[in-house]
Amino acid sequence: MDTVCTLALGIDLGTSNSAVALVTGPEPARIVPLIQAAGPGAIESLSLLPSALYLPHPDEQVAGSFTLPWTAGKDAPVVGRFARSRGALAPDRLVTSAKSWLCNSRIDRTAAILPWQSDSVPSAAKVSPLDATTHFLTHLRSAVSQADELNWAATRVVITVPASFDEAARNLTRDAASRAGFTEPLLLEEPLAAFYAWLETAGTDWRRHVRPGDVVLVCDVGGGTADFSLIAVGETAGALALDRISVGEHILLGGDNLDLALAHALRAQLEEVGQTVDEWQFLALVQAARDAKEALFNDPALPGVPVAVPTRSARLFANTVSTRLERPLLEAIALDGFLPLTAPTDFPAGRSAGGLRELGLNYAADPALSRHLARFLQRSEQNVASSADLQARVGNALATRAHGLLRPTHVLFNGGVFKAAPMRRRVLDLLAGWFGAAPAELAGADYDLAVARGAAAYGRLLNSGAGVRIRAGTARSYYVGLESTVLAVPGFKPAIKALCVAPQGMEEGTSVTLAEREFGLVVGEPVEFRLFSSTSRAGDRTGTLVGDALRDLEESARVETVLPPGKGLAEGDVIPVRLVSRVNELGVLELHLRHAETDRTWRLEFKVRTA
Amino acid sequence: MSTRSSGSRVSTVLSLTASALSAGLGIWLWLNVEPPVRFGAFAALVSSGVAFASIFFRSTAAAADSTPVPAPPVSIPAPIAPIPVPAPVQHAPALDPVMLADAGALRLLAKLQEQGRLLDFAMEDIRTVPDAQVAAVARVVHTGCREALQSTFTLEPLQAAQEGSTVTLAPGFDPEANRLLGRVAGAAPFTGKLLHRGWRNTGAVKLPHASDAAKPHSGIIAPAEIELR
Repeated sequence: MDTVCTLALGIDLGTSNSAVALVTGPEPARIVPLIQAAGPGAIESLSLLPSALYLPHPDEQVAGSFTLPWTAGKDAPVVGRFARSRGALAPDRLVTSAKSWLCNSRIDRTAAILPWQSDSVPSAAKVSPLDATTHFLTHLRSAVSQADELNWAATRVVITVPASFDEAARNLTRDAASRAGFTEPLLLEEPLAAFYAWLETAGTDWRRHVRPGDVVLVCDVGGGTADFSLIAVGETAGALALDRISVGEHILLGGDNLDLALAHALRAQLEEVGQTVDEWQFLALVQAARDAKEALFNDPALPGVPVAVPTRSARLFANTVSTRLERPLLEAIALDGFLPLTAPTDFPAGRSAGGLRELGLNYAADPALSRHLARFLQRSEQNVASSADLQARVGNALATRAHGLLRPTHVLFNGGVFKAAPMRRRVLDLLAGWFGAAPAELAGADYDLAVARGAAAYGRLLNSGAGVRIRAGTARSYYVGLESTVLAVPGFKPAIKALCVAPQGMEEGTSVTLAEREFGLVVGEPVEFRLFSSTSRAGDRTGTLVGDALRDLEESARVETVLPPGKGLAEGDVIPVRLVSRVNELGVLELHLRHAETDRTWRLEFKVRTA
Repeated sequence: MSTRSSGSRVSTVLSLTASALSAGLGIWLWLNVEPPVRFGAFAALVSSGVAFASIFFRSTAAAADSTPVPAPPVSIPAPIAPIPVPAPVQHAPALDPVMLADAGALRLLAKLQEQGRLLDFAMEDIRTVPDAQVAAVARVVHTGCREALQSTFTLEPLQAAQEGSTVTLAPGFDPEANRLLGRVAGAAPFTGKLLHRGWRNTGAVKLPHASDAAKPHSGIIAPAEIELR
């Protein structure tokens, strides 16, 4: 950026809800009110913008009924709380969880495929995951401009992404941001943002809460996703230093699954006594189940609460059905279903199906967050154990591991699920069962808004240079696949070897060259690599060979480029190139091919289109 | 949630609120933070008194009452906390104040119906409905209306003391915030039994408003719903 930034804007671009925080001086970040449609012809300002996009039928609205202050009388895409509540009644026209689609490498994320499998919305009116994300960011930017006359040129913008996002998903988020008019936004992992918010709340006192050798688990469970990270406390030249040492997978499991499960159980209860619940009532039942859950969790003395659900008919008295949510049922589902006290060696049954499945379907995969947490701590242990460098930085964290799991000494909770004290206590109990003693809880302030606040605080830290920064670097190591040249055998897939091209933890402004291998590049023909990544192989260096990429690594988007002929290169020429990985000043990982003789380079682009 | 510094437009809304309050009008429910009302226009509304609907509560917000007010009993957190709406900057035609007040009332009613089914509840004949069914419906209406009210107003009781306890009103007490019942005679201090703690609104009224302020309200509170299969 050319201008010196004095303002910082933190954007929590959430799977279920987004929020924006602004810092203009030394005072804590404040939440920016977000104008959104409240209904046809009406607008309201809320602290959260639900990440829902509703695509109205052309006959459904009078022209001009969804205008916003910045759309100059023209209809804007219907985004926010009304989009969500309206869309629930016409689900074929509703786009939600766009963020989970954005990190789904099995679909074309720039293709207009949402609402998924909707035959109500014509293809021409559908949007891509990238479009939907762009709509949300455009809305957020306009709402901020409406609420505050910001000098954008002097504003550092920090957008948060799940720690589990790979480079392709991060790149798409950046694309959406630049389409929305943000120049050079920085991306920050959500769990790190939550931790920055905690640092801000704790002030200079934070050093009293943790010691060198401590490991903080950031446990972030929102409406639709769960995201874990580990932050190690170390010591550099006598001062405490923070290191993000491990990130989790993208887990499509959150509070919404819990509310759905409760609603299903309550419906079963109603049906047992001969009552019926139609699909519209079921929507109200989900909301009623959520309210009942909160009431029971907020007041430990209540044995149960009544739940009544109306139909959509104006004849309220004829059709309302009622039952009770008793505490044992709530505990069976919320605690023993969602966070059961499982063994430390108990891992999720299968890999989650990613964003391809809708919420209700995905729920069946493995709803037990405990098992996902066990696997995360196991992979974290592997990650640290694989790297002497990491071990040197995290002190004795490995010494206290048990059952092959890395042991957190502290937990920082974030996300709506943890507003309920029993849910927090259950996580602590679970960890106590695995490691013998419960970790300490770092008192969190604001489970809904900490990520936005923390992102803004991080922006201010970068503006001023004052404050403690968590050393993060790239969360994953990256590999290019090498197709092996073996005879094809029917029914047998040959293993794919992969070469590490970018080790985990690369920091801004650094680059590495893969010296071990030279590639022959045909001028004028597209070149494409399969790209793999891992969150648990910190020990791999550039050039490390992985024998079975499909087993040991996760496949990311492919990378591709075309070398145009010209400048002494004729079409069809084969030139030798080496692969160079670089993390630029904004934290973007770039892969380049460099021609050794001329020093010319070509950037490999992430291929997010399937065609 | 801090509403202190959410930009100049919000401050305008807040200062309007403050002026309304200091004008001693209390919380005769002020339903019409309808943009783009400028201060002058608002003052006019205040003096003519038409903008204030007194349909629900009456108390004062003179804010002179220094008694600490306890938090409302059990607060069921609203799913999303609303923030006062910054007024959009479009058109500034002279709006009919009565129409403005009506639009505000209609929007509050729409919210109570949407979230708490208040109209369905009140407009049905319930003389023959069994009590058990009335109770079930009451829960629906109670939960929803409570959420709607809590997300629109900041409601607090006026008296901190428990109902049934003995309270004393010092000379110079606020007669708008305290209504004397029974044998009202003699001179302050008055000592008596607290029958009702009173209510007041202490924050900005957070209602949706028109995206096009110049367009009159259609009068539609809840649309008819037709299911397509």
